[in-house]
Amino acid sequence: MIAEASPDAPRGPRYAPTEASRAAQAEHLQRLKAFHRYPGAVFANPDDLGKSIAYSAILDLLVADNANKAAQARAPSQGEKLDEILKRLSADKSVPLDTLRAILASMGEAAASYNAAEIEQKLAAKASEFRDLTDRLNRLSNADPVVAQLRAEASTALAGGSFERTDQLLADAEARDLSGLEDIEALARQKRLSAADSRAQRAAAALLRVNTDAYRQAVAHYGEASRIAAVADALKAREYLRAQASTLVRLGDEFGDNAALREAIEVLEAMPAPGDRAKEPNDWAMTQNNLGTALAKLGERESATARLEEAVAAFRAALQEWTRERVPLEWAGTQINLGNALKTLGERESGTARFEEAVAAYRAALQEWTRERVPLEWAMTQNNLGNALTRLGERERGTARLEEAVAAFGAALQERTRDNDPLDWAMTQNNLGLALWTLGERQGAPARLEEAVAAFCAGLQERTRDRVSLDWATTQNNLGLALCTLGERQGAPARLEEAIKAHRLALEEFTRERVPLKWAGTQNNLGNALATLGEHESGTARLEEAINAYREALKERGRERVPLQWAASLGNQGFAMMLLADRTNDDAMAETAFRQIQTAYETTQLGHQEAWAANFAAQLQKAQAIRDRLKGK
Amino acid sequence: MPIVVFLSTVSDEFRAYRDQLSGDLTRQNVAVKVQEDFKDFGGDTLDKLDAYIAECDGVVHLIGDMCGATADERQRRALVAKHSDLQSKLPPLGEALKNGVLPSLHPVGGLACSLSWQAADDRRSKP
Repeated sequence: MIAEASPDAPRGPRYAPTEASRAAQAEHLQRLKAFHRYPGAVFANPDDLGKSIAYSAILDLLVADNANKAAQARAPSQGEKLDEILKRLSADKSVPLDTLRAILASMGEAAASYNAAEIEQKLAAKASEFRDLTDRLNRLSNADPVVAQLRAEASTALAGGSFERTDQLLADAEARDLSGLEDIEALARQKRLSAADSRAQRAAAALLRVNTDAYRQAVAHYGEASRIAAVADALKAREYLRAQASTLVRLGDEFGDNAALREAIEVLEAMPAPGDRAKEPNDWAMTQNNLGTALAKLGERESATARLEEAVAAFRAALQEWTRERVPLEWAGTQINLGNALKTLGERESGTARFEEAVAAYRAALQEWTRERVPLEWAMTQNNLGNALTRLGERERGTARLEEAVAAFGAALQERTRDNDPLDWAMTQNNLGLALWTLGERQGAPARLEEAVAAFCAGLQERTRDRVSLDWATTQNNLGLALCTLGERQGAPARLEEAIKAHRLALEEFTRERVPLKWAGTQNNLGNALATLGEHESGTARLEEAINAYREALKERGRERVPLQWAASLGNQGFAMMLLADRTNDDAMAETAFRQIQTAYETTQLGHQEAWAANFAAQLQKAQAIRDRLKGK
Repeated sequence: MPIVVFLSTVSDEFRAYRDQLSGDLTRQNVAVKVQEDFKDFGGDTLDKLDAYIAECDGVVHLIGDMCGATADERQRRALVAKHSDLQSKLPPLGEALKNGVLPSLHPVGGLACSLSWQAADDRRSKP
């Protein structure tokens, strides 16, 4: 950083410039200019210079750079990390290293887009699937010793990571069973089911590979297994169809393939035949539950709410047969699914009814998914309950729901400990922080806000940038929100500076290209922190920065796309412009500010965002007074 | 660990600034260092400055009316030889060297700071 003294800046007692020294300095500046270095600041006194240094982003950059260097020095390379993960999983899950290496290789170039934690998660899931599959292959009895031998060989090939060989051996086993079908009627059913089973194992083996082609092969294999089994056992055939639909859901879930989700819905909707529900209520309920899952996943990705409504209907239908008395754990599981779909619907609608229903569903589930019986599932449900209560608390007056949310997160953290489950622990800390922040804002209680900051900081110990970059950015953004409120309430510029720093860090990962709406949201939050600081400080620089941040936010927060968020950023920008116009006596800017705040007020009122509308109504009066003063009224 | 900022300045002109900045910035976890802080282990001044500044995180160069002494030709050549990749790492400096515009002893000129700092100036806020 180069800073230049203004002519009247005080100098030291031995300051004695001569013509020669001035000429030498001019020559020095020429040299700097020759390699494109220019003064970037002018100072009039030491205070001025101190502020220039401290308030410039230079320190942020240096801190971030230091942190990066330290992280790089600590962190092993990606290759070393993966090797370590493979060895650990091999030992923990009793899966041969060769198999895990082959699974990793199947990810191909896509592996580069995952971080180490995501790869470990995927490999751990595949390791469990591998064990299930080899158990089945070795356990299956078969009257035909040749088929049994082929399956055992397939299991060995799988352990060696040879997927093609595994597939071929299972295809041979299936062909052997199918070849003798016409010979003896009595053996036909057994052989047909055995062949279908071999085909289903081929699907399971294909699913060990992490790529869309392999998953598509699995879809086809399950479809064929169902077709082979249909003549011999309709129930078994439906089981394979459900497996096919689940594979399609996984394709949609893991690879963002919405068409696969639609296919899954078609498969599941076509399954029940008249009379099935009465004949096989358990089978029917399972299909309804799976249908609800596929609909909910697609509904989360679509802007319309029809799929989510259908998902809710499917889960409720499942609960008519999967009753608490008959199958308590399945009943509780479907209640969780129902709660999740209702919460997503609630976020798309105004009002509180959906959130109330979601809370009821989670509380119902907790009656059977108890801490003693299924501790991790209980903790997950408490976490989900906490989120629904927070949303409810945000829309209701008072603090009761928010206090309940804090209690739910506290309960979850009793089982989700940092040692047992670090990333989920960090997620719950983040959620707890949000509930405490909302509570602190509403109560005007700095202690709650300090607790929120502490929860976010705790979460960031595990949600690190190199491990889960977007989650890290989320919690940085949330930390910025809590610090901003704290700074505003306490009149503490240092807190506001910290808030600005947190939002700017978040923006390093929340880029416009990667997550446009989150980028815009964080720009808006950055604008809020800058405007709040600008209100407390003299001068105009912070306010100008705030206006610029809102301008950025509005590039993605379009009126058509997200009308309420558009109105919020437009109104916030109007507020910053109002302050700036007041300080610079700019009547044209005051007029623009007034109009923006007015539009924000009208839009948020129409959108039933009462709290926002009330805020803009108060600002509108101030903006009008400033505008009138500047117009000389 | 505080951030260490090297204040490149002519002492006679801005000594008081350094003292006040040391106090003010320390509260922000920033340590301020100046040329007089480094121990003299012998050798060229330019080389010593280079080694000292390499341990710092940033350089703030104050421009006034007075200029520091200019390093002699030998010291400058030694520095350029020591950092043989200087020209490729800092193309504008490489270009200036090629054109015969050699840096002076003044530290910020000699090391041209780190280019990544340039962006920081753009976001500076000044009342």
